[in-house]
Amino acid sequence: MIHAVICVVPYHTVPWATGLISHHRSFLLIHALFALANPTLERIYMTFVTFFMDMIRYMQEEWDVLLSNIRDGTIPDIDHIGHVRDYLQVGVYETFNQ
Amino acid sequence: MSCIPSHRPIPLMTSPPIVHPLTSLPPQLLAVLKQTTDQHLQDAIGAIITSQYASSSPDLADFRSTVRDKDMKEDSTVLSDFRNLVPLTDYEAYRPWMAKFFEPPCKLSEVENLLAPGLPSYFAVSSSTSGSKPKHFARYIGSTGLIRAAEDSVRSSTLTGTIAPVFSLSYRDIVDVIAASGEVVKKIPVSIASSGFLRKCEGWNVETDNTRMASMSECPLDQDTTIEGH
Repeated sequence: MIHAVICVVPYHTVPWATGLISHHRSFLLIHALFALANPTLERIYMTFVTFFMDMIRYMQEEWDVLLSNIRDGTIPDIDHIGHVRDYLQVGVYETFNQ
Repeated sequence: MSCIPSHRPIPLMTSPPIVHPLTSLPPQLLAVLKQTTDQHLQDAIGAIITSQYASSSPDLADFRSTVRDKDMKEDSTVLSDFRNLVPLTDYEAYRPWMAKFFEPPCKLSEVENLLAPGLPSYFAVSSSTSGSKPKHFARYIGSTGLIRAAEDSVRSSTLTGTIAPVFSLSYRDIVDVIAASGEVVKKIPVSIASSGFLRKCEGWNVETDNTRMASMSECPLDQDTTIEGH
């Protein structure tokens, strides 16, 4: 039996297109970017703890890059996000300027 | 910047609390658990019994003949019949049925009501950790009685900040279900379970993804939801 709990308000706002990044590292790095940019963040919510461990590791590896992106309001220059980059940039304007 | 809400006490350095795990549920909770489990099982059996699979699988022949004249929704002896007469099966019993979805063209006349009423909401792909071949699971959200709101799950009334949800909405493939007229009546995504479930709950059909690309994703679900399957 699979048992999964999904949910809970209030959700942090992320660009919808973030969910369409298939590459594991890029998927987690972009989620990390929007999570770090939110000063009221209280939880990071995901299905498996291994995803969380990966996210923290990637965050450490790219820490300086992520901070620069948040400061400059830009999207990291990483692979596998070309199909959603423009939409993520729109999300940056809406999120980082709050 | 602090992530700790001001009204929430900051834990002091104290010795860890002593925890005494229960080795069994109290009788009252045990009764509730049994009643809830039985109700879910009866609902699921009542819904699935009319499927192509349940109508013709040899594994269910004895069960079918025994419950033929019974009220599937009300007669509780259906549950004991199920437990006594339905053998344990593994994925191999379902693989030939699942294959019907993945042999194009996927015709509506052949796959409607195949494993449960209607058509699947999505196909969940397993991580292939057992056995060499990946497994596909047809998830019929809404037609089997196996989805419900959980009142006591992770909602926190003390939550004052925001949550970063980290969920994929990607899919690996799409199964087009085709009517006799040749029209595609449903596009069913093949994805990891959480992606398919979230899409189903939000009504995010794959064919309308382009209308959401530039939007912000906020408050996907307004209640805690628990899904149970397989």
